[in-house]
Amino acid sequence: MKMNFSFIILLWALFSFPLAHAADNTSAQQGLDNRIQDLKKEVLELNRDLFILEEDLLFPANTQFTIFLSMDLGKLFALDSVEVKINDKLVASHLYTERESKALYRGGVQRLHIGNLPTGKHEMIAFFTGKGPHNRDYRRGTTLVVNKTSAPQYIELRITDNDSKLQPDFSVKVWE
Amino acid sequence: MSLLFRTVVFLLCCSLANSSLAESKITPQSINDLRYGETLYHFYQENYFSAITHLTVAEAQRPIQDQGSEPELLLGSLYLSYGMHRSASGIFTQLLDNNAPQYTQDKTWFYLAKLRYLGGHHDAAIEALEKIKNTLPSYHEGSRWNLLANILLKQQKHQQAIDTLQHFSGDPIWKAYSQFNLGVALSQAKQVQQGQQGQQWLDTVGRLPAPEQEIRALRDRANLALGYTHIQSQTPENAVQAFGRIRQSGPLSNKALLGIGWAHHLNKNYNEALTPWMELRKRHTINTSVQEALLAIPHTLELLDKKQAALAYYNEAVNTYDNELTRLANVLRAVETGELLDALKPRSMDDESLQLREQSQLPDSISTPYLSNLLASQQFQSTYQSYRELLFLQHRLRFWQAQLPSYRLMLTEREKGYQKKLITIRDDKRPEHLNAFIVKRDQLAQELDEIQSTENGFALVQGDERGVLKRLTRIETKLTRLQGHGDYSEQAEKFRILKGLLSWKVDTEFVSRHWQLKRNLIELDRNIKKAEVAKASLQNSWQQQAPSTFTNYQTRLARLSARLQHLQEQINIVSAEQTRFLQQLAVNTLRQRRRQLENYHIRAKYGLTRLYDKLQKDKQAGP
Repeated sequence: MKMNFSFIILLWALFSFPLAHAADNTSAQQGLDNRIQDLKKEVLELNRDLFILEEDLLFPANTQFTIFLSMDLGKLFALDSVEVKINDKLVASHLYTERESKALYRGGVQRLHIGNLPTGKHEMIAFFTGKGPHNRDYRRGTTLVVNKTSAPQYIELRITDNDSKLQPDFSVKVWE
Repeated sequence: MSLLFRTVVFLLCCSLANSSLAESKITPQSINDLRYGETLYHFYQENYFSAITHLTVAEAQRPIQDQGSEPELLLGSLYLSYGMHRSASGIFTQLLDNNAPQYTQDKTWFYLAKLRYLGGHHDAAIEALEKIKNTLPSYHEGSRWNLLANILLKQQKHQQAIDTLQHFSGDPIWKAYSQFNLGVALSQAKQVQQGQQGQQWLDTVGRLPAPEQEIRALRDRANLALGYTHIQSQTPENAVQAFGRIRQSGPLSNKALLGIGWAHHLNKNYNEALTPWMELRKRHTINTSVQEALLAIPHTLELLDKKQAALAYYNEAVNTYDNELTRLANVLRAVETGELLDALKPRSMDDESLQLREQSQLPDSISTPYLSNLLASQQFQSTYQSYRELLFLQHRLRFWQAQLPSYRLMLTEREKGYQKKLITIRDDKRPEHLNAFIVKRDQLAQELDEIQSTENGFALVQGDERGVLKRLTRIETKLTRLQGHGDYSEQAEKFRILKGLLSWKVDTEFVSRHWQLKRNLIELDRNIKKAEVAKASLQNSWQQQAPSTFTNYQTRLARLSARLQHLQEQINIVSAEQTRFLQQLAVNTLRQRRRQLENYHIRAKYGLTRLYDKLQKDKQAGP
């Protein structure tokens, strides 16, 4: 009977904690946690500053050209991949994981490409592949003639649902 | 095993920071600034480091204006998710100070409540929850009530926790967790009445219909906990029922079988007790329930007066414990020399989201089967998460360290190119031509003034008129020369009429022609001004601005490089400490297991010796 009792105590201990409880750290670990928080903050700040430096150096404002991709609803189109060509030269291609697609469906906007373009007119073509209505393979392209000025330029490729046609729409928006 | 790990991790994590379960129900937000959308893209993938970077870069370059207070709220929530509680707290407090809209305030109080709860400030957490009005999104409601119930349980305010659950109308999964926590908390209470209430709550969760995997896992845990409370309260029949509801194929089946055996044992149904334990005996001896059963079997056989059989099973137990102790010693040695840490290292550091996916998988280590409880514990999970975050930070810093030389090279090359062009530009005489243009312009302006003052219309003839005027002048000269040499009166009359016509035209158009020239002069002035600005700008950018830009970049690079080096040193130190701590957690757990196993071993050996002596005495005293 003694063994029985000790057994119950042992096993009961395994279940006797509420599942959702705050971390019961030792003070040493708490100190270490605080130092980790400080380090994270410092690394994030450094990462931010280096990121800005990199952008300033590699993509000066007068030639900077950025392409974003967004998805509105996305019920009629499951995105697999996208390719972007500028003046017939491939500048960006991306294969989407499930996590990335979900992030787009939920309203996230992906920076697909950042590069440099001289001022003047340029032709941009984007190809989208995925599954369209009725789970059929789908490949569509959209074209835009971009008039690059000396200011940074932001282009948004949008995939939207056209409920009246029951087809996905692919459009381009130039942000000022 | 992996299911147990994932399930318990899920249970532990779901009531803390962001629950993927709840977040998945968020409806898309309207995006008025692409950079805000870009942050969300990383946030939704739980790439908190990248999300914070993009948002803070945007704020540093050009603050996001068109998303209201959402960017600040998002940043606070990102810090919270990334374990930077102090930074998160600072942002939330600032948001409340800024009289944010009610919707933002409610969300902020909610996050602050979580932060305070995590920091152990329970009264303050409740205070924050009480500030929330009615604009909290529905996907946070379940989490909110769960949080409140947990805080009340921490404060031993069981009745208030029960009342909270009565009004719980949120997500059924959150409700199930709250009920479970309440059941466990009440069952631990010393008062009989509360213990019974706890059993009722556990019973409720233990009978939940469970289409989802999470609920099935929670239901098993509730039934297991319920079974042991019934054993404690000496109601073994109820315990058998509770244990019987646990899935046989589930991760808790070994514990359930052990519990059923002890419930029957308590009821003195020794033969029934042996049935589940004999089933356990066939299973892997690494499992603590199996190890326990190996000792319980001979103990019970003794009670059934089956001494010979008990002797055999004690023998089996001793041998098994011997083998397990040897294996455990090997595992302990391996863990002490870093085998587990190697297995815990991520396969790749490039994909930030891969970290999260890998973290939910069991490490490929020989110690894994011995550490399932530890690996699923919150302390280990949070320590391991920090360890991986530190590795990721190290990786990021190494990336930048590799980049910096190329930036320096780029700057050097640009500067060289600039120096070359500077010589060409200095030698270019074109800017000096501007002065000659200005002199010419002044002459023209003076001429125009004279024309205006003399009202000399012929000075403003243009195009074909110039030819006509020349011919008229020639004719006039000839007529003068022919005077007195014949009758040229007809030609003189024609000349007079033609000159009169031209004169009339330039006189009548004098004002408009003069005005046109004045306008041209103004336009010329404007162009000269532009050329002067361009010349000054060129001189400024090539002789002053460009060199200072290069110097600026070099200074920035040098400062950033120094910060980088300093941080790398700091991270290496902290990372080493965290690694030691993580390893120590594993070693302590294994040592604890060894002590438990040694205890079984001693008991089995004692039982074996005692029984053997008894049998010997019986034999000697025989018929």
